[in-house]
Amino acid sequence: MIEVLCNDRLGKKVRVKCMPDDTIGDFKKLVAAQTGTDPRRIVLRKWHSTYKDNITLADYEIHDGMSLELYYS
Amino acid sequence: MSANAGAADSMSIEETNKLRISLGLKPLDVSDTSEQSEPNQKVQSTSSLDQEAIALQNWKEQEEKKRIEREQNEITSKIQTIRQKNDQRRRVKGRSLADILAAEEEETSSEDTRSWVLKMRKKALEKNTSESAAPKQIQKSINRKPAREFPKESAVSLEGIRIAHDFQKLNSENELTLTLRDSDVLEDNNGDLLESNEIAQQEALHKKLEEQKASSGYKPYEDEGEIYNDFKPKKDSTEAVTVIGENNALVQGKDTTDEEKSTAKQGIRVSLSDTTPSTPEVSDYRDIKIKKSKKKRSREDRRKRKIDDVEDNEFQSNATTGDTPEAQNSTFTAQEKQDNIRRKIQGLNSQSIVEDDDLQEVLALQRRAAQKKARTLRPEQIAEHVQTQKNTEEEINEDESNSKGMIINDTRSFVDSLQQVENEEPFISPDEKQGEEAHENKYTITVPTNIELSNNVPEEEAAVVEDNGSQPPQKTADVLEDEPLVSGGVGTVLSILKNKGVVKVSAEAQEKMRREEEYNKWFTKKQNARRELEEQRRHQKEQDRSSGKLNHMTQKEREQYAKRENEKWDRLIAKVEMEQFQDYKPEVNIRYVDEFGVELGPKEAYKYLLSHQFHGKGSGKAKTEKRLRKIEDMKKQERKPIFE
Repeated sequence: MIEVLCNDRLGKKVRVKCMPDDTIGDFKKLVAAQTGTDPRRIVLRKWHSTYKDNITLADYEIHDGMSLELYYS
Repeated sequence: MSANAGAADSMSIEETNKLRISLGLKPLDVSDTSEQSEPNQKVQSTSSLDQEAIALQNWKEQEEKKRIEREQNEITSKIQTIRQKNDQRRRVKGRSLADILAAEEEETSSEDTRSWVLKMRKKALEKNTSESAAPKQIQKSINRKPAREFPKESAVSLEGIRIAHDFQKLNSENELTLTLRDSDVLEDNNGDLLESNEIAQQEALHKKLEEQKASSGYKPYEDEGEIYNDFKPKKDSTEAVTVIGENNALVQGKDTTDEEKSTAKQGIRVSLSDTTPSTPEVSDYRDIKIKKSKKKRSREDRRKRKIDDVEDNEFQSNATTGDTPEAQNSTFTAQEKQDNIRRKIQGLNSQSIVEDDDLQEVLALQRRAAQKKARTLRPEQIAEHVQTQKNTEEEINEDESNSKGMIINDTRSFVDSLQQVENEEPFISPDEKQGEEAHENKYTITVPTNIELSNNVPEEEAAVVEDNGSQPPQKTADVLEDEPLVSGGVGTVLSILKNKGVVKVSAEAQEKMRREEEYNKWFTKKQNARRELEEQRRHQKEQDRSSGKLNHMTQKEREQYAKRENEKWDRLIAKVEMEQFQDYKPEVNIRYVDEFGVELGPKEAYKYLLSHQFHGKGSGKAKTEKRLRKIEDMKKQERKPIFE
């Protein structure tokens, strides 16, 4: 289990517990449940690279404690 | 790791697990932090590196399998081929064609030409000697179809069949294939006719060449008739025919049907020696009537001619008046004019009037000029003419005044009018008379000069009269002195003319003036009435104010009172105005003018201003052009000076 930080930079900071072999899509659902938004509207980014829904966190090498940028489409 | 929570929200594990289950995900694999690092690594490794290893292994296995399969397939296929071969060998005995060819190839592998040639020769020899043994086998094995053999001896004898060629030609060829010649179905030409294609072509070519040689070239300088001498009518085509006689013997024969054919082919005979009648020679030039060219006048002549036309009028006009001393007063002295004309005549005479035609033309011109003179008028001419006429008339008058009898003409009427005026206005002061007399002689107007002239004459008279006496002529002098100066303006001129009776006011103009006066009177009356009422109203207001009645009223009452007063006065004024309009006789004139400034009658007004505008359609092209042209002509006419 890893814990990933998602920061909105507008006041929303969420820490989500998940498994490394979860896909980004599932991760987005978790984030949405915690933030209270629509999972389809969430966009996770790291600097300029947007994370795609069908790839696992492990493949993206997202480890425990890493933070991702939270945007909305 | 999760130490620095900060402002970050975080769900507990249980909640997260609940959420995950609800989403359909596996619950979190919770373990201690120390352990977590390792399993994390493991998880990571399995997730990425291990997977690769697995994949690699899988791939290897797959490759192994494929290889094995391939080998097995190969083996089986080999076994099969060997089996087939064995079967074939058992079936086939002796050398197959392939073997033979292979053997040949082996033999011919040595590519030396000489050796090959020797080999071929040897083979041929072998073939000739041993024909029976091997080929049979070969034939059998090969399973060839035997060539079709025609029977040597046919049941049908060839006797009587005709061939369409010469006997010699048939003999010259080694092999000859004869085909049946095409002919019509119903046409019966004594049976079938065989012909060889090659021989037929040769014959045709031969004939063509001969014809070409025979036809001579075009000789351009020979006469027409001789061209046709070379033409030879086509010979009766007699085809050489051989007939197969008994025992296949060829017999030369002649086609019997040719005669019939030739007669059929000839048709109409035309003898070409008869020359056709030559067509009448057509000239290239059209028939034109040559007109006798007119003698062209030189530029000098034409100029002189033009001047003559113009000056002839004067010439004629002066010719009638003659050299009178009274002609001195005209603007262009007659003397000068006559000099000009004399010069012209001299010029005319200087021209060589050689032929009668010219003379006639000159006379004709003079006659025409005389006619023209009667039509065209120019102010100076008129003045002159009238003046001279008057002078002559005066002379006649003076002559005749001695004799008894009164002649009534313009001067007479003028004098009469003078008398009339004298009767009307006898009360002019003498001072004015004196002052005006001095100015009277300085008339310099350019109105119709007969007035001026006629003025001059009586003035002289008046002056003469005045010098003589004082009282009786004073009256006429009064009248004359009363006349205002022309320098006063157009109005004064108009009044002078009116007094003289030259300018007469027409009846409708008078009517118009009367109406205008009436209208003005009425209008002033109305205005006065209104003004009076306004005065009264104001006066009343003043009185009210001064009486102090208003002081006792409140504001509201004052307003009401004012309102009532206003209403009263308005009613009164309206009533008075209505009364005024009882005798209102306006002159209503509706004038319709279109955009070009042309005044339109009722029909045109309706057409252009109402109908066209209403329907939105104007006239067509032709009509509008006509209209525009008319308008232009009108405007031009207006702009033209009156006397030309």
